[in-house]
Amino acid sequence: MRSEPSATDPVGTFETVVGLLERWEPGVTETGTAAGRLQRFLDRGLNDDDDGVLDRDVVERRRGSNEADVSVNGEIGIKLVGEGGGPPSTR
Amino acid sequence: MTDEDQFGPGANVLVVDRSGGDCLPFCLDRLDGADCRLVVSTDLPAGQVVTLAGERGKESSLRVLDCIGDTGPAIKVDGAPGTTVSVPGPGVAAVGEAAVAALDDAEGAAGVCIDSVATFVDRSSVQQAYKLLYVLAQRVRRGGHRAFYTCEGPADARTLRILGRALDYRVSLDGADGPTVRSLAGVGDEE
Repeated sequence: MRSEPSATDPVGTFETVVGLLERWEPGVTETGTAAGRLQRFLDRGLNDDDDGVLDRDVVERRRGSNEADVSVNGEIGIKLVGEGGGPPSTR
Repeated sequence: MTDEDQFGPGANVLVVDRSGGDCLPFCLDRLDGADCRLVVSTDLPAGQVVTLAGERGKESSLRVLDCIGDTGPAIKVDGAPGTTVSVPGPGVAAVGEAAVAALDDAEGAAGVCIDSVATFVDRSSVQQAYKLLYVLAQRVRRGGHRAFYTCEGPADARTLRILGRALDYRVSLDGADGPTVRSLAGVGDEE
């Protein structure tokens, strides 16, 4: 499943991420940390398997100077707050 | 330790010069010694790139991607044997595909200069430029290449901070005491 619109539209990508976050259920059906589960969820929601390497949105977990737990295309940061790492907030 | 020591195989370096046009010569000087050289030029015509590069690193082959105007046939330029110029067009996607293909075709460790990322941002968006840098940087690390990404003129600090997250080092050429090098390590994938 891929959510539109195209990743070349930064505002559209942000809105898509927000929409995905609203649907995200930070349950424990998958293993790993909340940030890892969120990363995989966003990656699946933003990208198709047949997307070209340059078309894919980059969904990363970060550390160091970046305060975001998960980032999208370097510009959209998501910070997990609350117990169990949810619900997330975007900036 | 010299910057050449720091910028070892697999290194991706953002080179920033807010005040002038010293980035390309700085980068070309550091491609010397690579098995082959790849320059992606969005602003300077290929002929001028070949001339500049010809003054440096004469022993390794040179491939130039001229990304100033519309796509077209390969350009013939006066250069040393092993010099080729192709014209993928100005679009960020076309440039990215051509650069990735050139890296995949590289024989040995390539020295790469992407000149400039500021133009990529102007032509698309910060996010699209980040995606391009992310993909190229991965290829560079995997292949043991060494890549420099230029950003000249007034640049938004936020944009530089975001783009730098895809890379390993940031060099500023603005200082009166010469280039300053900062590691961008510590910002990477946890998993």
